[in-house]
Amino acid sequence: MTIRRLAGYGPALVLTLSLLALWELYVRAGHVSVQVLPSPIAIIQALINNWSVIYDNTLQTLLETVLGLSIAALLGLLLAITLDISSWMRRSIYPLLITSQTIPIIALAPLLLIWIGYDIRPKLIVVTLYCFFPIAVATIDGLASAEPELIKLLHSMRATRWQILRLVRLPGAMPAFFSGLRIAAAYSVIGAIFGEYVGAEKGLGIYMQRAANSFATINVFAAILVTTILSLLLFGLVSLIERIALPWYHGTVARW
Amino acid sequence: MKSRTRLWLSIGIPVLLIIIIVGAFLWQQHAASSGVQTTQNPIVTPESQCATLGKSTPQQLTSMNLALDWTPNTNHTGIYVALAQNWYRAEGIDLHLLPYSASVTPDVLVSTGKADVGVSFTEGIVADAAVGQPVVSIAAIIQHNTSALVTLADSGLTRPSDLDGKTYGGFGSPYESAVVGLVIQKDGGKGQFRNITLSVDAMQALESHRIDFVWVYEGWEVIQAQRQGVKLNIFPITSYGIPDYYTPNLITSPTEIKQKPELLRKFMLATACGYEYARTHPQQAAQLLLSSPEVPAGTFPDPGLVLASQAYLSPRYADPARKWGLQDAAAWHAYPQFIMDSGGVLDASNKPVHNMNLDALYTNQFLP
Repeated sequence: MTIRRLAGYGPALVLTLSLLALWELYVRAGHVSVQVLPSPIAIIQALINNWSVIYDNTLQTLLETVLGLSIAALLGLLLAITLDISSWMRRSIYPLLITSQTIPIIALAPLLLIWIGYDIRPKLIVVTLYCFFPIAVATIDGLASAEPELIKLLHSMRATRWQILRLVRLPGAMPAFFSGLRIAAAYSVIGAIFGEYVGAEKGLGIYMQRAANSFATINVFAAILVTTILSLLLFGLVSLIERIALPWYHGTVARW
Repeated sequence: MKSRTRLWLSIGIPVLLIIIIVGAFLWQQHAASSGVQTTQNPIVTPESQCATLGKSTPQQLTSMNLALDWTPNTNHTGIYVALAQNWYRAEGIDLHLLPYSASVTPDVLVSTGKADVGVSFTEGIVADAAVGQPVVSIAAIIQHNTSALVTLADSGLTRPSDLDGKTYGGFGSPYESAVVGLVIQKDGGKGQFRNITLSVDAMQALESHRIDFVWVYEGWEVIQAQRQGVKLNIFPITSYGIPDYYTPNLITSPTEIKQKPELLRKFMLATACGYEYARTHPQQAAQLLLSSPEVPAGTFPDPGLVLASQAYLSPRYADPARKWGLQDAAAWHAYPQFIMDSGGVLDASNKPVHNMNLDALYTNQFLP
């Protein structure tokens, strides 16, 4: 990473730090009770003090997140390919795909708990439901927008449908797939937390609830901090993999 | 990098990540399970019935699920005492506590058979009967109602009649307005107020000055506020015309009563001994709750709150010279009838229910 790229993060860093400083000062000035809004420094202290408990819960959430996200990525990719291969499938499944996103998860999650139980499965379902849609839709678009000239060229060489998919359309859809995956990665932690919030033995979601019930607002914020860091890390990891997998894309497209 | 290396890397990194996280998770679980040791403190039990409990040889264990109504707190102390003393095991019960869920009530878990017993409250039990999901109260955990309307001391709202026209932060139940309205009326007010349903902690909302008064328990929220130096005006609802009633209660389902009466009797013996111990030994009982391996770590950031709350609650588990858990017909008629009369009980199609067989809602038959 060059200095120039690093410097690109400067404005974001300055803005974040000044907002945090403003927050710290506002709380210190005594405008608001610590029970209502703890200061950033106090939150970091609480995180350090409760680290062993928070770590335990974080692992649970992280496990649900990465497993759910992986299932969603595979499912999204498979669905996209299936829908792309046959227009018959596309017409029958695509509406269902969209319908799946109209289910209010806030209503579904408690039912999953009653149907399945308190283990990890209902959480995986919630994460997968949250995450597979952006991946599937982005990949479908990516597959559809393959360059027609290349396909014609392969046709002229008597390539089969599978060969065209493997050599042209799938590689061409990869940038779109990764866009979807990045959106999903940003959502995935929230999905896991939501799945836990309705009932779990362990995890950041239930930890937040427990902390709120025992009037430890500061621990709720400590858990939020962990959630944010996890989401950013996952997002960063997906970007990194994208960079490794698609060097040609990153060489030609200017990045923000 | 060659394209093949790139492909392997982009598949390998996520796989490696998953392996690392699963590994860390399993390792943590392993560490946690080997770290937990069953604490066995020999305790002289107060009642003769309970004295024999720990001594009998453990028989074949029957698994039993108990659904909690909230994160562990001093309402549950007796259960944690009995767990710590191995009294459930002595009765042949392998008790598993289902964690509290904000969106699935213990009543639903009990009536669907996911839990054998649960912790609920009178209004909930009446509402369950109204919507055709009957549960039965098998014990009153606390003998008298300990809930109160509270305002901040600096709000200048020093008596219930001051609450007219003010904002109430509630939990969105149909019977709330009736109860709050009557409390205000009994004090000479009109009983008109703004009702806002909160999804956040009531005391937090109160302290933020966004609302004027809330309905909380004296044994938990009020003690917590005192420990934080927040001054409150407290109006216990039973001092303002609301009939006394039981909250919380232990519940089970009619099916369970029909199919496993013997198991329920054994469960109640161990539980009653737990509460009897907690009633007579507040300090030790609070310690057992605090150190219970069944309580998730981090539940009690302030052990002092548990000790203070236990000191408040222990004498209220049972009246002097009365056994723990007993329920009277009077308590099961007056208050439930009052909330039904005021339209606070709705059936499955959201129509008010005005009468039901209240005697079917509770039983003392499983108490030792």
